[in-house]
Amino acid sequence: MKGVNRWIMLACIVLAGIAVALDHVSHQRPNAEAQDGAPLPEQPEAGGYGTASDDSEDE
Amino acid sequence: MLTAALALFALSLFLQHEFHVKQALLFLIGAGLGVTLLHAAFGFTGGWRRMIRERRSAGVRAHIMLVVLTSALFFPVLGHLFPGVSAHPALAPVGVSVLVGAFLFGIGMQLGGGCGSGTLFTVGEGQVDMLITLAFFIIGATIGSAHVLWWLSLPSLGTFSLIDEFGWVPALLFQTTCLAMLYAWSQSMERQRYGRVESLGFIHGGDKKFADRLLFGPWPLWWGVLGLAVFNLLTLVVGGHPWSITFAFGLWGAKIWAVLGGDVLAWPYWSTGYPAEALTQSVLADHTSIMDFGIILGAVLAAALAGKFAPAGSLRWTRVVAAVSGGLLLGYGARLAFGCNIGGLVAGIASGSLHGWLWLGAGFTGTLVGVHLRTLLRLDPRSVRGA
Repeated sequence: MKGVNRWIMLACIVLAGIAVALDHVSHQRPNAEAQDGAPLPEQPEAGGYGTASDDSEDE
Repeated sequence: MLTAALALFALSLFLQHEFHVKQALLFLIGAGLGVTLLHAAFGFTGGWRRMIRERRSAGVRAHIMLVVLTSALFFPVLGHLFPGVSAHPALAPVGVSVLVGAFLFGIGMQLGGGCGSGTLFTVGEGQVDMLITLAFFIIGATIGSAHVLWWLSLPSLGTFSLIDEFGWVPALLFQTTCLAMLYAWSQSMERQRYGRVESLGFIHGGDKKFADRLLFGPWPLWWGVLGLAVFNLLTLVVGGHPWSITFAFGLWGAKIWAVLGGDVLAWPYWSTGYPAEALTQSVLADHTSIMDFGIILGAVLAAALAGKFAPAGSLRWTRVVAAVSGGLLLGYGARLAFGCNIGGLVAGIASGSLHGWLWLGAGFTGTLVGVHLRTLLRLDPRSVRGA
């Protein structure tokens, strides 16, 4: 059973990796500036912190 | 182990190259969180359950210590003691949405077998049943994102920041006093039953050298408290926001739904602000997602170091039912409650936001219900159920 579990987990990790890679290549690079080391647009709500006017956020 | 270490190294280099060094740092911070969570076996679910069933308070006291220490690190930063550091608190409205969401989350974490962080690190540990919980956690968060605006239209007191109202020093003193009272209460509950209390320094696994224990685990709970608080502070400083987990789950679910043909952009939640931006970018551009990936890979690495990756175990149908229903409740609840136990409870309270306290009360009440449901579904061994 342990061996089976290991293979299931590894398969899931590989599949998730493929999904992330596909998602990444299907989108344009976030912005050209990032290549130059310029910061990405600030993400104060990266964790979804809402404000009174943006209550649709989470966390 | 080597594969996990190489994957961490390669992905951090990739993130630095494709995006920004900040992304790579947040990914590595996530990995550090994953190692800490796994080596210290630091989860809210088991700790709260032991308190309710057995009156064993070590887990709950560790959680309280985590909030105390994180608050002590966050309040000066959020109170602008260091003007050069730009950081945003986890503020959210105190309302019905948080009340219901945290209550559902509390039930869900007992049925699903893990909280937000617990689900990620146990998946990294290779527990196959937690994959089911995670899958339905993602589905629940996605459904929640479709409904959250309705929930937010229900009564709310608005946001309330202790730091803004009283200043960071008085607010920290007041909050620490409240948490100290909770700590003392939980300790007294255990002492009443057993005559003594378990130490947070208790270590499983016998005597080991410090370096061996640090690398291979297991860690005492207080190492976990220290590690999580420090990594949370690093997240605040590097990312500009506290550590959070479940926004990413909704994002992944929305992206999958879009691939399947769903018109996610028509949902109000995903049509404006940061969610809309995140949906149209690579998932690797999202802070929460890359930190979650880091947590899972960090836990894989730690589990491999500890020699306990993919533990044996078979699935009973009751466990599957519990994982499905628990996962859905976890995801849906987290979306309504502005986050899970990490993004809603720890980050909320450590940001001086009143919604974090509401999360704590509602989440613990939900846990009481969830523990009874676990007993009804016979999810635990008889010896534990009867305790």
